[in-house]
Amino acid sequence: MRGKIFTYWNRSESGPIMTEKDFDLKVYWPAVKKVVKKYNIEYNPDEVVPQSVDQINDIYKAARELFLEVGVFNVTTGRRITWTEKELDDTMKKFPSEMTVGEGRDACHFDHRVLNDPRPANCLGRVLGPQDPALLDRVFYAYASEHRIDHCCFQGIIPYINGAKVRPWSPHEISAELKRVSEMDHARRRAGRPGMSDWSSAPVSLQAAMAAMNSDSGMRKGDVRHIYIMPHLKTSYEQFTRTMATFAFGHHQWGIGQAYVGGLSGSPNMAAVVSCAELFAYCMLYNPSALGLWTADGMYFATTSRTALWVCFHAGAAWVNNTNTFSLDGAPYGVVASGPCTETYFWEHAAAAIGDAVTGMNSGGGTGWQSALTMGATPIGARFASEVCDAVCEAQIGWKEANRLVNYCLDKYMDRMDAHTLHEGGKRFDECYDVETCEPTQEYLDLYNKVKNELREQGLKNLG
Amino acid sequence: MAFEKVRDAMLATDSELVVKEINAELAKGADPKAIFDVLTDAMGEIGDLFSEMKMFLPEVMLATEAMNEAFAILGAEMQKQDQAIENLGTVVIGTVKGDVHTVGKDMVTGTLNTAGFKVFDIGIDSSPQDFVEIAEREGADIIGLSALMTATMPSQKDVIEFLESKGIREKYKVLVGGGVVTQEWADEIGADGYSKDAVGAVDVAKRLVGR
Repeated sequence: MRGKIFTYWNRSESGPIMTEKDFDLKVYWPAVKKVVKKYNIEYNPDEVVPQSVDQINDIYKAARELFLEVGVFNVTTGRRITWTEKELDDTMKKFPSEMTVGEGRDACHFDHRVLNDPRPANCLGRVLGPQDPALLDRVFYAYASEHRIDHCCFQGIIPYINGAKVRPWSPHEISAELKRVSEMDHARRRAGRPGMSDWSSAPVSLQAAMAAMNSDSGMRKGDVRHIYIMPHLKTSYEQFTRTMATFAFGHHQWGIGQAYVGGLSGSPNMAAVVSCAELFAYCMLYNPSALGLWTADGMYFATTSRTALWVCFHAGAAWVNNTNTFSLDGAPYGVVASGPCTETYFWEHAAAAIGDAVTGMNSGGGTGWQSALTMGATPIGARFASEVCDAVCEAQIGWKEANRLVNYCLDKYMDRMDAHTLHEGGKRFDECYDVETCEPTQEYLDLYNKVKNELREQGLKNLG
Repeated sequence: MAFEKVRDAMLATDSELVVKEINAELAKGADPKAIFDVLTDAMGEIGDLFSEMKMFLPEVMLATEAMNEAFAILGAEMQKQDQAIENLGTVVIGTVKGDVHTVGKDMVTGTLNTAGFKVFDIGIDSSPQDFVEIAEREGADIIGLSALMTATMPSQKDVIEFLESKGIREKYKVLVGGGVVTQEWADEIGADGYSKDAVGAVDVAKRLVGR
């Protein structure tokens, strides 16, 4: 155990008491506005990738001040948990700069990365959204056998089982979680990667999650489970209980800054500060083994819009340049708006991966259709993102060129994102992958190669 | 522009200032309905700015609070003068049972409020009984059901079936939405309207109430 999280949890019983609405409108929101104004943090839509170290350092300072002033609101008790500067600094000084998840030779090691880090980055694969239960093992196997993916959220949702719909807190939810973990474990074994870490957060109920932890269903100690900081800077006893369960069974925890631009996060510049502050919250409350940034637009669910990427890259760079923690997973955090087997699916992944590379974050991807439609997960997105990210790291293109390339990618899809139609089109996994070999179809590979060639023509000549 | 200070106070989402300016105008003998119309237009402007991500949810929440406070004053004055108080309709909205996601529902609450609907947000993890009790109490026109997860989509169907079982299905228009929800699902469960996002929800809600 690092830090004094139980001591901090106990402040849920003694901190300032208030309604959630008062926390949102009278504590959190004025504080966000104040720190953004104090540090004069402005959003420049043309500079999606940071262009100023001073600005990202200011975002970090603003986030630190926001966190110390606001703390975290426990919705269960209606009280704020707050920290002193010394407590925050002591924890951050001791917070690990490296971490290993997964097991054996399949373990994935995260160390601290720096801005414009030349080394290859880790790659996160995510299977999100509803899956056809009959094809779940095919999807999981495709991800487990994708060599570019280092760690994976095998989180496909099983919509029905045993003739019943899977609903939260029903017995079917436990059955579905046992099936999901079992299928995942078989898939990673068949792919020759039994120790590859699973980062799912599929069940709603802790009971269902614990059923898989406390069984021989296939979950391993190296697997990681999601604990939430709710939007924004909020927690609950439910989240502490989840944390305790992962401690009890020896698993890891992952957490993400979840800014919703336009929502409670406010404008992009505010959302960058809030995202960074939420990472402090994870460090102080949950003892996480993995951190990331999952920034979405509030009006049209997308993690690859101009504003969402601006937030992710600026918050990530701020964190990377001012802390010594293990590296963050960056945009698109596994999900894009375009459907699989479309050209824009690759452009969204490219935009995210380029920015991740130069801001010292890890890449990833895979799921399309805003993680909403059935069978929208294909691992080729993660492969492509990883290849682009590593090529950018190796080429050492710098922030200015990275920004030009990201804007080039954005021009390929932002008009449809603005029209809220980017999710239209595309193909299901079983329409664009061979379900026997679990390899992408030639049509899909042709799109993948087309975008790659165009990126090479744009100057990313080392993209393999 | 008439009542410019009232309008500016609303656009600044400052409820204390809104109340102060309204009282000042009423003291001068202003028509409460005319002030109310200016505030409604200002809320429309806020809604447009919110849709364009130039204003943000906390500001919409503050504006809604200011509007409610203004309404308490102006409504009483308008009643005294036998003036009709109009809104586009009343909506009871919430995230369905089993689902604790709040962002999408909050965004729709914001756009509906600023468009001129009277919105009762009943929160997250709401049972069919929660929706129906509030809808009956408030005389709602629309029940809005948000579900972000595949696992909680059936809870939208539960609300419709609960309305049917009580024999009051025809009293309400049911609007569904949320990350995983589609038009096909809305059709399958017999919902009256579906919207993919918060901006579209306003158009659908207006259509449902014939506006």
